[in-house]
Amino acid sequence: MACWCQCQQAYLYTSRAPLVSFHNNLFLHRQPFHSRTFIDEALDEIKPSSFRTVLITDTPKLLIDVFLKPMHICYWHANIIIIINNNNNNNNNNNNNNNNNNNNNNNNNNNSNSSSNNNKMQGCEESFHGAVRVRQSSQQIGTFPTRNSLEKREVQFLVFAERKRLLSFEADFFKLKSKFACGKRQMTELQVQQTTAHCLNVQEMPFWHEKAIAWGQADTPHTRNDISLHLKSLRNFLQQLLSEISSVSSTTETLNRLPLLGQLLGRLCWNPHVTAEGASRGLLLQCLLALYSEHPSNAVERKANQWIQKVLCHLATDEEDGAAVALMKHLGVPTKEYHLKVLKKMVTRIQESIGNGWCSKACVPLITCPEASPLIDALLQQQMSCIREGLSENFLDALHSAYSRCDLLLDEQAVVSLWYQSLPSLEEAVLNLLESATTAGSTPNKVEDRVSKSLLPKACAQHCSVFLVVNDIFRTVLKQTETNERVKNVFQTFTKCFFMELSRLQPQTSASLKAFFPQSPPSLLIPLFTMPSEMPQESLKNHLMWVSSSLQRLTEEEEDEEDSDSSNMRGNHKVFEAWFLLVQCGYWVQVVVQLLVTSGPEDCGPLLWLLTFYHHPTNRWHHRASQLVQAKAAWDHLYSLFSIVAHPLPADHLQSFISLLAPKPQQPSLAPSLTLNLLVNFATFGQLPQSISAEITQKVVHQSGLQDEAARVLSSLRLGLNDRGSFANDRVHLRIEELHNTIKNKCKPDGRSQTDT
Amino acid sequence: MGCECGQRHMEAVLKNVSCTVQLLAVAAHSGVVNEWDEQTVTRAFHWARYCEHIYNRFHGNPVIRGVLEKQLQLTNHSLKEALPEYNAVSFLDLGRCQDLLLLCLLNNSALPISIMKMLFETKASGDCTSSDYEDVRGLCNQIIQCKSACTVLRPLLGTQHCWCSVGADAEVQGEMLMERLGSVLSQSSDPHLAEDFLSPVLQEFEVAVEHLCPVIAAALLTTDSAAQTASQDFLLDWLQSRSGMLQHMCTALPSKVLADLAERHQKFRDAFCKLLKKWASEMEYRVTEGEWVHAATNSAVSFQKMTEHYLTLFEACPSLRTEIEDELNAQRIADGDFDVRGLSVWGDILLALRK
Repeated sequence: MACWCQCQQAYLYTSRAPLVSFHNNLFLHRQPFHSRTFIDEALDEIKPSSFRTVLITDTPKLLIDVFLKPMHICYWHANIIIIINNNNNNNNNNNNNNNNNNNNNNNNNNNSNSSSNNNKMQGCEESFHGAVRVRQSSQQIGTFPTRNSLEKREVQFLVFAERKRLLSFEADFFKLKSKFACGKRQMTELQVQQTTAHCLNVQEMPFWHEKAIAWGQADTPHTRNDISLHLKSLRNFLQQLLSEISSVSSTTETLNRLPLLGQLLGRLCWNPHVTAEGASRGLLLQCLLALYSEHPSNAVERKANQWIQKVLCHLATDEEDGAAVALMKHLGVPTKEYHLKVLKKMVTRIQESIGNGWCSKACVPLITCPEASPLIDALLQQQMSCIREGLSENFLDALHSAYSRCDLLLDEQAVVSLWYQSLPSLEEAVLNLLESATTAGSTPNKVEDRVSKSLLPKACAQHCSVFLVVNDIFRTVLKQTETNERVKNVFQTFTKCFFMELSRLQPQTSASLKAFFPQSPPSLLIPLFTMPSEMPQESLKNHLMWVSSSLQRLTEEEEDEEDSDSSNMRGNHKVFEAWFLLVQCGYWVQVVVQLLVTSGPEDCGPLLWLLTFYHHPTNRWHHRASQLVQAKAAWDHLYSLFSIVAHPLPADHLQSFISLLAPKPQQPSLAPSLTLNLLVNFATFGQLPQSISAEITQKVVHQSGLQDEAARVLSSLRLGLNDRGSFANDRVHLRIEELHNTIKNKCKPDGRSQTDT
Repeated sequence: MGCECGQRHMEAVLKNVSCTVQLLAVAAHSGVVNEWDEQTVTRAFHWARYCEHIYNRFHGNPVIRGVLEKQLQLTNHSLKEALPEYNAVSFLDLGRCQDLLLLCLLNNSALPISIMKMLFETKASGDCTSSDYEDVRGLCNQIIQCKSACTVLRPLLGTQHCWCSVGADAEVQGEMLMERLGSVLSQSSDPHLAEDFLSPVLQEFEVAVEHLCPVIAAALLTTDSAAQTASQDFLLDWLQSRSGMLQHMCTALPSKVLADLAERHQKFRDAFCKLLKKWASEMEYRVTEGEWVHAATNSAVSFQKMTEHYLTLFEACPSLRTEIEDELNAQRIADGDFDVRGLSVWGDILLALRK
């Protein structure tokens, strides 16, 4: 799971602007459609010299060009660059001279007394919380020369060396992801003052007091807009107030500490825009109730109690419209019923005449109000066809945060439109899905359930742009976790569900395959997206041979090129995209393994190549040849093991196969999942009697401690066969069940093998 | 036998109502409330709801209503003797008994904080799984939410709707008026009863006619059920018998609403056309200002407004156009058949309509 933390990265997209600031940290995600000038302008506008900067980009090279400012690149890994400003140019120049990639102590930590490496990491994370401090102290992890003094290639080299040192930092850094997501676009005047979430900043009190007075003076569109813009930070402040009130022993003391408190709460209570919003109203009421002293000890507390009860009574029973009250009294209609009816009527009327972005702005306080939900749904959906500017950003932001707090019930289509219009929401949904689907213990069946219930496949089928973003996130995750079978499984399941949803749509309403997969090799799209069940059994092998040779050609071409030109990033990209496509179409890999069981030595070559490529996509350190040899060895072992009819099993034969699964210190070793997959398929589709197959499997799995993994492979196999409708064969079904039982039962009592691994 | 059973039932009802009224008195004025727990409060609200049910069931039944009113009088009297600050509870109050109970409790200084917390509980803070006292828990929170949401939305509707609708508040009030009137009419064919019901309601608004106009318009425009035709007919007759009220409505409401009403109800259409003609006949030409002005100084209807009324009416009921134009023309001819402005109001209206 360590790699999980690392891969929580690339989601710091921003929806509209490429730049996002949070606590003085600046985030930039450069998307393909952002031109260089665009980024340049954006950076100028936001004046990055006052920020500690984190940049996220697909093309780090370009950013080096963009950054002509005197800054320190501290960290650069994959598509992340962290740049910490050094406001002191002299300091910067001095550092140029003693820069050295082995210099681990190149840490100008002005703030901390200790400069050991451990403290350094900690200090860095702390500084993300208290960004102001960072700015003052110009705390650095490592200093790098700027463009003026070093060639680009040198920078790249230095960064590569630095990368290792900072891996652990990366893990901490991405844990903060959720905080960034929440804090996005929250650029109120208070931002700099915000400290930690639950500690009250008393200095904010006069600010909010003044705001409350200003809001109470006139109900104009301007004040309404100002209130909705501030609702989120007001909520945070009220939360802090509540914790403060609850932590202080008596109301007398609280009022001494916060003399403006009563006035503030009182004024806020009379502001319908504040009391309409669920969370703010809740906090406000809780603050009042927390101030009530059950056993008042002095006149102040007695007075406070009286005041609180009066305020609450007025809030609940006061009526503005005297004539309406009189009429309701004559008709004997309860007020709650009356207000509920009026609210519903208003919602219907506004829904009928839904207009511009102005309406969405005004609805910010009502987002969590259940009666207003038809209006919220309608607002979200009517914008689908119109220009995006229609819905106010503040509205989408509030929707997103309410939705992620689970304070909001939206109907399916409204959720889809929310994702379509609010990138942070979409990112969060994808992340949540990945997190829940990859947790330990989730079986392929559960994964499929989660994926289809997540609504994401449906949203993707309806909106190509949503699919592209989701796929982009998957792509980034996959780059970090290429060997994680769970993650691959999620993507495969996702693709399956996505195609199911796509087939439900009218053909004319959905985009072409090419539009959904613009980066994949076009020649492979149709062959891989054709389902194995859509093809006659006898042509499966030829089909896969063709796929294998196409992929082989593609990788060879690109890898040759890479050899001749070490900066060939494009080639890598092509191979990656081809592999990404293969991962998404994992059902073909399953067919490959199944065919390997029935193939002879003469035609298993291309199939083994495809399987090896699936498990080892990068030809790192030119290990592919050796990996292919090992894969062939594993296959040879299994081939002979499963063709020996005589009993008992040759122990040495089995042992040498098991040794293939053991982790070896020397490089390169074959992914255990590859070998395991072969074994399970041999055991399922091979000709040996069930008992012997089960025995072999049990021994191998037991001794190599891969019970869970084997169970997962079996479940995937069962699910895959189900999908292909290949369960006409009862024998296969039975064998899978029995193998499953063998693994589960015989391996469970033996705890040792599990702890061994 | 059946009668006896009904009588016993009635006795029980009277006793329950009387007890609930006593409960209200306790909730408002007694220090005992300090001992109340969540269960007590929930039971109190259940009894209050019982009274609302009794009101809904019998408010149209003059006999039972009379008995209940008599019982309330007795209970009020004895409570007043015991508690001088006690406010009498009327039969109408029974319909909003929960409101009364809430008001009593929140104004009682002995109300314990635990009950306040219960009433003002918000979902986020409370334990959502406990379904006890469901209806009372967070009651005030819901009321505040509803009221605030209405206040937030009202300006949104105001700007877009004022020219063509009566507003959501009036719509709801109109619907409720129709509902009550419908149940009165369905229980008895005696029109006096409905008259008795309607008169005090509407009397309340003698001072706030501008509020009543949109409510009546909304009531006449409701489309819910067939039963409402009877109620609407009754209301229309009532309106026609009060020409002052009708005149107020036609002065205060937007042309679009009046045209809608005319389209829906023949009776209203005739009355409206008659009124327009009456207004026109009362106009005199002011040479100094160069325009037609209504003779009665306090009338708000201008010549311009009148032509607007006509035009909107023609849009809603196109068949009226020729009929009214013919009438106007006949009047113009009667006035001397001149084609000069300022001589005949009918001629000038015609001119404005044909523009």
